[in-house]
Amino acid sequence: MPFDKTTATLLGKSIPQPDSLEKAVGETLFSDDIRLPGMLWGLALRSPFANARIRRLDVSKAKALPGVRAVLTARDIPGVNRRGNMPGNRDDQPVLVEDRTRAVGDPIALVAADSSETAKEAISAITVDYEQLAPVEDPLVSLEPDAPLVDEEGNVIGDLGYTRGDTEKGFSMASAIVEETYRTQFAEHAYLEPEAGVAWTDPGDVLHIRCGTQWVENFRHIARILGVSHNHVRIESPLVGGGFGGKIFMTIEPLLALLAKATGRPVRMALTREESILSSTKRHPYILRYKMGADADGRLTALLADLVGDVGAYSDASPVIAWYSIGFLGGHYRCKNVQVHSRFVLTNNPSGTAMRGVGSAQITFALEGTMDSLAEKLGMDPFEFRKRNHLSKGESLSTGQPLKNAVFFSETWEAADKALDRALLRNSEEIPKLSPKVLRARGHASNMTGYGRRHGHLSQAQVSVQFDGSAVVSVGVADIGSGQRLGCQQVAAEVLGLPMDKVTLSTSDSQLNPIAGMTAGSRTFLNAAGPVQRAAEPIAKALKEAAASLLEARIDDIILADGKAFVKGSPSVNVPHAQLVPAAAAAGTSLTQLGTLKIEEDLYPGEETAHNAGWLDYTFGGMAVEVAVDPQTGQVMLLGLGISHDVGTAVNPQIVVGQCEGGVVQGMGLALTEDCCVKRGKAEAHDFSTYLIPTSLDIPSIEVAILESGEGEGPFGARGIGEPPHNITPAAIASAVSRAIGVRVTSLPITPEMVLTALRTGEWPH
Amino acid sequence: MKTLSVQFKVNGEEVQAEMPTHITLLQALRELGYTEVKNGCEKGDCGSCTVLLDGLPVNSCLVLAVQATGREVTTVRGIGSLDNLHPLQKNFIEHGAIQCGFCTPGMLLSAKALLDENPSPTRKEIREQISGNLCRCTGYVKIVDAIMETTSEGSKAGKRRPRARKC
Amino acid sequence: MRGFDFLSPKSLIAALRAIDGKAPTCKLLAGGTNVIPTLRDGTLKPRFVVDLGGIKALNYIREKQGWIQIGALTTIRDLLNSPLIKKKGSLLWEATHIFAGPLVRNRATVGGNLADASPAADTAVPLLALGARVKLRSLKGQRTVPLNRFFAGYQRTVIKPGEIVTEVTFPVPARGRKQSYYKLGRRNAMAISVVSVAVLLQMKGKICTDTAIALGAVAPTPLRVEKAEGILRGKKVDLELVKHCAQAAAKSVKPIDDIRASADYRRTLCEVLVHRMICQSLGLEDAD
Repeated sequence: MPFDKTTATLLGKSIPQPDSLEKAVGETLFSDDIRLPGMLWGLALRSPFANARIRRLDVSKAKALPGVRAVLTARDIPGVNRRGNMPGNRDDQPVLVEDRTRAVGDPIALVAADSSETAKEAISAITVDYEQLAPVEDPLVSLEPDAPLVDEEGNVIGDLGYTRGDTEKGFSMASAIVEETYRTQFAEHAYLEPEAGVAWTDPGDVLHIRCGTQWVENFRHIARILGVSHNHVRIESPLVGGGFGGKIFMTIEPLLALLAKATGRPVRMALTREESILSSTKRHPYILRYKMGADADGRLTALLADLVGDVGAYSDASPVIAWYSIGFLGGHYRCKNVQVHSRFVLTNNPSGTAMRGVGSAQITFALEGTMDSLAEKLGMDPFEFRKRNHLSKGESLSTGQPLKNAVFFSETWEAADKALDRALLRNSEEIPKLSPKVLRARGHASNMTGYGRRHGHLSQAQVSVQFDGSAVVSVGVADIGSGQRLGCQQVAAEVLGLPMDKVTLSTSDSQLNPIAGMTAGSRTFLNAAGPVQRAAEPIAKALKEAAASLLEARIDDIILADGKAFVKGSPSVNVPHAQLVPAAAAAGTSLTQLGTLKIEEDLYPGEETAHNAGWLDYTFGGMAVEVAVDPQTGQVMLLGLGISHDVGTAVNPQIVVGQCEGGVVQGMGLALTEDCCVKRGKAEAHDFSTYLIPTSLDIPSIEVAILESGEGEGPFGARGIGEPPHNITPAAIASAVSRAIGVRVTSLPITPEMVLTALRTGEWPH
Repeated sequence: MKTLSVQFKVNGEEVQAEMPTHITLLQALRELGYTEVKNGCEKGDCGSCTVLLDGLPVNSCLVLAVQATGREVTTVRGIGSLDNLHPLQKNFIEHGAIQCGFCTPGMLLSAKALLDENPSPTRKEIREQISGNLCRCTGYVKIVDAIMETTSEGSKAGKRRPRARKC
Repeated sequence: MRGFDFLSPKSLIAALRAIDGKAPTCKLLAGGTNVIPTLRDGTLKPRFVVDLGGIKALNYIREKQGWIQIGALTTIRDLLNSPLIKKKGSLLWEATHIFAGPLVRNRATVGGNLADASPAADTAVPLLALGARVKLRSLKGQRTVPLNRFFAGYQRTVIKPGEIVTEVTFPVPARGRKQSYYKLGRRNAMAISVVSVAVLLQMKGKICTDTAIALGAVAPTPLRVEKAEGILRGKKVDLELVKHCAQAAAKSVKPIDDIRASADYRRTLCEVLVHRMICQSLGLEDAD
């Protein structure tokens, strides 16, 4: 039975998040907020060097200290000393270093002690004799044939690409060609909650790990490390204090697991901010070379993209991001002659991982910059130029994948531009204070972000109704603050016709909840609320059948809303759910249903070369920004920003707007201030006084314009919106700054110093 | 380890404990069970650990526990509870000003201190007041909205102004 | 074993007695915003910590015989909220307005900020321009040090063992003084200065009778650029002269490359900002 949007009661409502109440009063127990009896403190000894051989490791003094309950090294790992990776990815990261460190922050030994003071003492009592080796810092150097090997299997962990048509011929047909190289920085997720957690073993010998994560399915990796079967590890994620991709793959879970297993006692760990930034994964820096040509009419004739991604020391999610990257490199523009090449290379830098947009922020920045340059070279308006080239619904990406849903290119571009006008109007007291000498300009960008994995992805959820009509949703996804639980709750309440408070949630427990995948890739509404919808539908149908019989009406005329069933048009004659549920049960309906979302996409032509590059669907959007650049200092001030995305259906508009505003401000950081400043493999910026995320005084006037094509793969036609607003922001800001200074911005972050150099030399410094 | 007996009030309740001298107020509060005070950086860079010290918002990581002796500490639990929300808490919830929620306790206390001093601040003054409280999720817009709604101006308006989002 | 004896004297004399003879193993706490994290992480391991926060007598802002006197334990917040500072020390007031963020301003003190002697100390730059003096007390007596002789090097001062900073004082700027302050940071709040500039000018018609130009974060200590000042003093100020002065200022600094900016950028910005601040305070049309 298709969902009838016209009778929906909760669809499109800005309902607050169910957990915000306890968060507002400080009752939420985050990862570091529980204390168990007999709990020990865990600490790790981490490598200060990016590349070193360990000649000798002596833990005897640490072990001898009173109050120290365990000191573990690689030799003490009962199972496999590998952190594990997704199928097909290189499994190259040890849990504890054996004889060689590959990155700053690599854990070498673990300590569990009665107090944090004792644990610290024990850590300093461990002696390590390092033989320092020169770290491989530059991915271009790492690519060279005689480069020192970071990993025995070779430094290149992904070498992908495809060719369509004939780029040489394409360039020969072009009347304008632009070739540019773009570079991006190491960016830190900077979730405000540092990694922390507790692990303990229950009387049934199941190891519990309560640690904020975006993916409870990591229990399998833990089981392998401990040498136990999967059913002996259970991950329960509390509400997560921010993730942004940095808590998908394991953080401290294996360390907690080893210590809890070795001591038989509950163990707690909590990283300091410095330890967190120094040891955690980052957004990959990309070196992107684009060469694009267009004919005199402004139609693209050839596109060549070459990407080198700095993987850092360990593969982590890089192979997956390498696939996605080649999917985005060709862009959302029409071009017959395309050649795309991407190599992901190991170095001794911090490891790259997923971060809000998995590679698309970097690519959007380079692609849109090159498009602007080409428009400029052709003497065309950038919007007009793009309008001649952007793909429409039904056309295919250069990977070969057809775009099956709406493509609101012009719509979002124009809506963003108008939103910017409104934003500037709001900012009207500030703008007149600007010196007439500032360089003011407006810039734009357009973007495409994937959501939903293709091929065999399976996620499940369970919905149960109780005899009084209330319902419980059970789904194994983690909530990282952007409304994952709310989405499941709102969908279940809508389908079952219940008020929100009659639907409770059980989530993010790897043993109690059906598994629904990671909270990542702008797809949790699809992957988690999708199966919830599927589980709730047969229950709703049974309730309607019961109601139809009680109200003597046709089932198609029954409406479920606000905990009652009634015949369409006559809500005053109604039957409450409390009466329907027992009736449905008596009729033999199971009150608990499992919903399954299985994605089996058809192969598309070209997939053999653009393997795994595609997503189930894409979200399209536009952004307009106005900046003022101080020509003498190089400072960039954002005067206003308009953003528009087609979200298919805005199931909860406040959540959509929240994702847009939050994504924009994070994107601003990526564009202007954030940089880990990695030197000799170490993030020099490893606290919040040097790693600069925007403050409340840095944000511009932001206006959001939500568009709804009604076409999307999520419940009720929704599209993913977690990442797209973030991805587009650096591109749009760079576009505006480039226009203001008359020099193409080709690297991030856009520091005042670089702007000033560009103004003085006429070239963007690298 | 050098210790001292420390005595102060938290949310009106007397607290007394023997504490190492180098322990910060943040560490002390969390060990005493006030885990609503969040540890984000321990350097005063993020504001997650904000408490009111005699009514003034401070980073509790930048105060030694022993320095709190004789003083009054207010955490977010001291300004409202599940069944008796402070208007700021109510508005934070309704405006979607809470995403991951890790900055929320500190943010609310900074906001409360402002409104205690100035019941009708401008948006700019609100942004200045919370500029030591980092938020990585919301982009601050809805936080400013929620605080604005709680000002005497906002309350006078009597209803939500969903599009009043200038920042 | 970590830990220290914690002393919290309630009077200056008690504090002076408490620190007497303990200098190398004793750390003073004013607002604590810089010191406490180093005590927490163990970078600093003193045997004694003396908290001056309880000495209420060192928290005041007053005007006396043409001088503004600020007790060393006055917080940045108190300076920001002081109508007297806003009116008669507006250079300093502007710096307090963008000093870190409100949470830090509620604890940090002017005495602590100066004694900490960071090259980027936010209050130091306007205070240098205002011709401030620092009062130091010990059990032996009292001395006054001009602020431009107070900093001895990177994070070093002339404070001797047994001495405590008790007051910062500066003459009330003469009526008609022109002044400008600017801090260039990488963010609008919670920023450590990349370059900061304070300019004070005494004019008689178009003639500059006196000037003070101070810079922050461009040398091991905050500093006055006396050569540059000399270029303006006694001269008719026009754009050409301002340019010379700004160039001289940039020549007298010794910036370093760090995570916030390069030495080159800092030197360039000294010239740009000194030029701009002079033009701004005089209402000169900046030709650049």
